[in-house]
Amino acid sequence: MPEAPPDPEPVVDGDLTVGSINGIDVMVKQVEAELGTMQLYVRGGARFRTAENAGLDSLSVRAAVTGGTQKLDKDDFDKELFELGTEVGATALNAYSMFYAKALRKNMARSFELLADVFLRPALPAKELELQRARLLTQIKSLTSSPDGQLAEQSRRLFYAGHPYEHAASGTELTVSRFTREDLVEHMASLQNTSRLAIVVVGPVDYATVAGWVKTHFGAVPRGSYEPSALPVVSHETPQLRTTTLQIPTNFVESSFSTPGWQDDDFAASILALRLLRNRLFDEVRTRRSLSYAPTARHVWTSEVTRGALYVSAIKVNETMKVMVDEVEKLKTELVGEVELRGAKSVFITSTLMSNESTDGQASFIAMCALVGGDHRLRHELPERIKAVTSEQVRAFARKYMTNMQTIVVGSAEVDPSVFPSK
Amino acid sequence: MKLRPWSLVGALTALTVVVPALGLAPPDEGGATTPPTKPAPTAATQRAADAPLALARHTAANGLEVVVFENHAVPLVTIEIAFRNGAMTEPPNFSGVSHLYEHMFFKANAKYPSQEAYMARANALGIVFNGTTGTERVNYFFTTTSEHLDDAMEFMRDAITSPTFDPGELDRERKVVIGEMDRAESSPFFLFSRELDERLWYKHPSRKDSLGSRKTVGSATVQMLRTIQQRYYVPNNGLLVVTGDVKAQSIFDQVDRLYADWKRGPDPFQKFPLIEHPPLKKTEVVVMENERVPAFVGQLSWHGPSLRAEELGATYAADGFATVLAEASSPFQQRLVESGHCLQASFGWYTQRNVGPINLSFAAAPNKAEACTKAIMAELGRMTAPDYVSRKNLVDAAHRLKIDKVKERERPSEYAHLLTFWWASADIDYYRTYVEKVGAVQPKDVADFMQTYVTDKPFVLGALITPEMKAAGITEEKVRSWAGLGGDS
Repeated sequence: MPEAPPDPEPVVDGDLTVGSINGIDVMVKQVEAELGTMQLYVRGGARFRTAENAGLDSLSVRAAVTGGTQKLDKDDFDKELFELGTEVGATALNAYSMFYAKALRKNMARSFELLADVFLRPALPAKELELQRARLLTQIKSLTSSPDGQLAEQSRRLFYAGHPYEHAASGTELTVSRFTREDLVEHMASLQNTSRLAIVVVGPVDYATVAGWVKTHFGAVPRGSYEPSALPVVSHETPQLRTTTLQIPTNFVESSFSTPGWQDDDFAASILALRLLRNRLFDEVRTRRSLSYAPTARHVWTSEVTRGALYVSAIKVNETMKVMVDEVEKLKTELVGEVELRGAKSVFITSTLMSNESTDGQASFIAMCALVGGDHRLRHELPERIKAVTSEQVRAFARKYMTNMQTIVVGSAEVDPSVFPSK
Repeated sequence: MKLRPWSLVGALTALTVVVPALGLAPPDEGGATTPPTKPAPTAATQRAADAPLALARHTAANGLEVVVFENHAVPLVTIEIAFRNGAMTEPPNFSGVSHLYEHMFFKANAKYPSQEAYMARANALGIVFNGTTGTERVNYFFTTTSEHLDDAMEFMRDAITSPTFDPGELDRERKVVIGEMDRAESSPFFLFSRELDERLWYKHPSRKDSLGSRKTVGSATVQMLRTIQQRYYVPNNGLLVVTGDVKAQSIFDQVDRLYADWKRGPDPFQKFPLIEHPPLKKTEVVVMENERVPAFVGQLSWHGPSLRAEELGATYAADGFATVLAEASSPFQQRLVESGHCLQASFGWYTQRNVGPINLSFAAAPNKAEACTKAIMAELGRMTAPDYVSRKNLVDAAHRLKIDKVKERERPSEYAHLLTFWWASADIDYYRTYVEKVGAVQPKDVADFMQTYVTDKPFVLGALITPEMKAAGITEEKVRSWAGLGGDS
């Protein structure tokens, strides 16, 4: 077996130190804080999801973090977490699965060890699997308990039809019902290749210390040969409208469209354009016309495949959507004024800083830039790119992308298809 | 403490609903109960530093309390103002008007002639903003970068002291609030919690209903808003919190200057005391059907303590007890959840100035509804035993709460909301000493708490089911029977 190449020297990027240990990308931001956040990312996510295995990653990571480890059974594991005051959790997302621990400064080392054990040596007891399965099944059912949940679920399915993102991370009642303990054990083992892993730590600890933890607990993990593949681009040639009848006091509507990815030149313009549109919808639909409490423009830009949407709850669906579509048309035909543009940039900066107040917020932002955006330096560069966006770029984005909307209506309104966004 | 959010059926926490104004952007007669604890009027300002929590405090000459939490990790500031207002101050003819008022805050004032002008200014300052209305607090908050601190402080002052209440804007906003009600009433959990609330607070349901009545909101007038303003929007009924990248002394100086012309008003709770919620006369069972419910959902509710001197001990006991029960390794969780009977079970008391509810909430797969409900009732029987929790359990719970407090401080923009919540329903001193007081709770205190508020006391039992569950035999009679309340066994 060939000897593994030596770890490269870490690189310092301002307050972030970036290195690689046994093939694991390690990013450490040392900050003065009472708490530290340690996040372990497992690349892949929706890439490996199919109609048959959707939900396996969710059920696996849930059972792993709640079922104890091969060293500590569930009860002892819970007791130690309680005594340490450490929070351990996990989530399965489209770009990756993420395990995390949040701990007091003095307990970070032991908490990192527990986190590593959860990932590398989960006990996965059958009883815990059944509890987590029952909870996940209830969560899946709860997607349809609220009209907003139904809207989100149907909107996702319509927009991502034929794409890996079509399959929800939570899976379906059918898939989740039939996973066995062996399936979970096998799945967790398949994740244990360092080429799939990244670790981000933000807290009162330096890179050298974290590097020591990683060597101790992950030094023997095989590298594997994971290479991320590009996900298909979502593109719609024609608009679509689907209605789900539900007897409720109002109607919920979402019209989705593709937006640029992180690597595209107009990515920053898309973020700003959707913020501008959100403000305008609020002014026109809510403030001036009182047509809705909740008109907005949504933008899912934190994943590899991005999506924008017009969203509203309204009784007068046709009248309301016409106003919203008119605002989209204005964005396509008129240049945004300098004051309005500057304001939207300022609000973006505020929002970004708000999401970076906590150590876990900072860690998540670093990871998103590195793993989704492809470069940790985007944490600096993205705000600068946003500041540089021009009115012309906003208009160009709107013209290019805000077309062929995929619309879902949940409620009991008589919908006139002609008012919904078309080419 | 605030009830822990229920991940499975989070919408159930609508029982403690806080209504946001922007969401994506929301008084008069009274009985007699103890008025809220109020700071003594003071001619001179008092300043104190609270070292353990790093809270700097100040009271302006007009009675406005100010709390500053400095955190310079990121260049952000959050300015939040709160008033003791909301559902607790609303008789039926004002039900929902505090919430409507909150919406009107983000509109024209003496300096900005329209909502459009107001929004343009907020945008120019890079402000992320919102407001919420709860049962005992209405709060408004701005977050922006620290370079805009001075302008944002003025912007808050203008909004809070000089609302115009333009009739045209009011007319439009009423419809927006009705639209908010439409959304809420589209949720089965909202309807369920409202149904339970109407039974739990049977004499004065409006005093616990933040969203309020369509009829009242639909006919609210400018004069009604002025009544609320004059009565509750007085500096001596408010708290201004500033968190983030600021200097406390500079904030205190600014407050003294900016709010110098804002006149103290009469203590609203002297003239309009909080009403008294009479105890439940009998146990009630309500079973609601909705086709969109993901599991069998149940809840038992009692009247709990109020934040007043004679019940303070019970409040700490309630929170210490609830924290013990929330731990995954607790016998409560072991017997109810780990056993496989229930998907989720939680017990808690909601911190309130005027009778906080005690809730024991649970959920189960439909085929385990009976087992879960029976296990809940059996556990309830055990919970009243004097040795149900140990002193060590309670010390550990205080340790957990202490760490929770550290986590709370990590996000200064959200910490501001917590501070105003605690201030409104308790006060800052209660919050400051909270963990220490919970740490001093003895098992006997917990037993006394249970004896006083739960054991053999009437309660409201609610269950939310689907038509399929009913067809499978889950009826009100069955639920009564499982709970040991008679019915069809």
